[in-house]
Amino acid sequence: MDARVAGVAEAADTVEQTLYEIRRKIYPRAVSGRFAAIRWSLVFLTQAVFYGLAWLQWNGRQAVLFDIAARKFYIFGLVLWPQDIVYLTVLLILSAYSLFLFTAVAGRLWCGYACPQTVYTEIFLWIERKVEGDRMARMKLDRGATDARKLRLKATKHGLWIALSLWTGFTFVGYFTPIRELFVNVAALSVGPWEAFWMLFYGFATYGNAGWMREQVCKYMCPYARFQGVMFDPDTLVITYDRDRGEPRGGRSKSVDPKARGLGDCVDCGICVQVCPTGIDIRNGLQYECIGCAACIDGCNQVMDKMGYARGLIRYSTENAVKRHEDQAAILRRVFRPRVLVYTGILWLVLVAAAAMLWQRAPFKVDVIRDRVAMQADAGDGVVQNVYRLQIMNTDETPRSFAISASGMPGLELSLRENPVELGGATSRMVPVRVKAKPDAGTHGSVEIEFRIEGRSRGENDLTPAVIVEKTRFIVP
Amino acid sequence: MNPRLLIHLLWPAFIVAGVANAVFFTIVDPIDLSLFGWPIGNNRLAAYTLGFFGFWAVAAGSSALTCFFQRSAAEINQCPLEPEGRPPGCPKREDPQANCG
Repeated sequence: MDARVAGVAEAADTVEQTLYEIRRKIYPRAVSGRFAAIRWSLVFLTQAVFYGLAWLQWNGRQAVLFDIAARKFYIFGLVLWPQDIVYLTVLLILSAYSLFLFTAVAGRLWCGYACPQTVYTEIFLWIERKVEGDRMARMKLDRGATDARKLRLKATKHGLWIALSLWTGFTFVGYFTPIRELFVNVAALSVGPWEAFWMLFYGFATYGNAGWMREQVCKYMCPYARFQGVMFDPDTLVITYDRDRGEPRGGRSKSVDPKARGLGDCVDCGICVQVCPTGIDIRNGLQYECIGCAACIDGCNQVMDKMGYARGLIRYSTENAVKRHEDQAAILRRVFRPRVLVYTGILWLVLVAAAAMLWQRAPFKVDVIRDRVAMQADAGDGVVQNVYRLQIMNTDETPRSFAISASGMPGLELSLRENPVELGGATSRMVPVRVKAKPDAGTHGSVEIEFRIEGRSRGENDLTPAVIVEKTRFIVP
Repeated sequence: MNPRLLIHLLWPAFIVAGVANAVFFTIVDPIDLSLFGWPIGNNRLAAYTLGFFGFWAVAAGSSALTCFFQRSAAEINQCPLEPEGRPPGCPKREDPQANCG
């Protein structure tokens, strides 16, 4: 233990000037245990999805593609157009309420387990550990003179970091421009300037944030870390040091009975501080720097096991439970409090509404625009002609034929180049339509008419066509 | 210029620019825009990228003005220096972070 404490003191001497403020470089110690296992499984899960999903094919195209150049978002069978912005809003509402809910129940779960900053820092630290060794070895290496070995290790580490960052930047851009074409272009060194810029930009951000900035991103750059406190209440699960049990802290050998010496259960080994990626001491209470990663819980439990003490000197608990010395059952009971129930209720409501909206979504959209150049024309013999343009969008990937008709005036007649209009999957077309009518004598000004558009899937005998009725005005001179 | 001040200006502006860019180009198709009467062309990716940097510059400019206006009358009248270099008796001498520094 002594060597480790000395290590902490020496690390405190390694002060470096960073961009935000004087920062002591943090050398997080590797930790294993239940929460480390959960964190690692989430690293694997999120990254398998992130690096893998872009390559998945669906209907002969990329399954998930936010094709910003064509302004169409493909999410498996769903094609979203700019007109579908309401779904983006719904998605944001769902994300916000999920964050409220999870944070109210168990604090900064997002930060500790799923935030890309945490995930990439974890991966980069793993690389660092594989190349340079664990905490003590890394501190020794940084303190030591710059020799061939140090240069080799540093070059290897940064080389691996940069390679991973570039692949991350490439994958990121691959969600916005088809990744297979992008891969071919990158391999042929003929990638477009804008794609190249964003790949390098995102890659650089990954390298900088996960390799160099690390906990500083959470401490100084993340807005969420600053306001997460407002979502907490006294029944929120947070990582807590049990002061009543741990104090007075102090070193002792395993054979000593702490009660006889007047000591609490904290052996003051400093492991909880050494494993902390933000370098705080959880024993000082809840701090905004704590990202809720639970590394200190794993670290402390290992020490408690070695000492033969009960686990959970540092554990997930709530302010109320610690104050009233309550057990897990009491904590669990208070999860179902009004705040949590209201968040859950709203979340379900929005989710069901969104699902219903998606279910009811018409497979095509129509926008009727009056032609402003030729407002109306007298076609002779009491017949009046108006010109419209119909913007028809076949929003999903089934080719369709659209039969257009109109009603609302006597003698209404349509003339189009083709009727029905044939449209391929996920395409749109502007269709000029001339409407002739013979209004009753005495009708002047604007009259309401209706366009009725029936969309049928092509090739099949579609007996229940989707129908859209759009109202517009017919001008009579 | 103090590099820390630069970060203090650029980082919040970066966040705001990202959000503003996403919202703006979700609503507006860059192909419908024109520049000095000329159509912007068919390259949406270029418009998104340049738009982002435009938003970033505007937001950073606004943050810079906020910092600039933070000086009090006493600072302007008697102590028009960086906080660290101010003579005794001047406000905010002890605080190098004053004026967003």
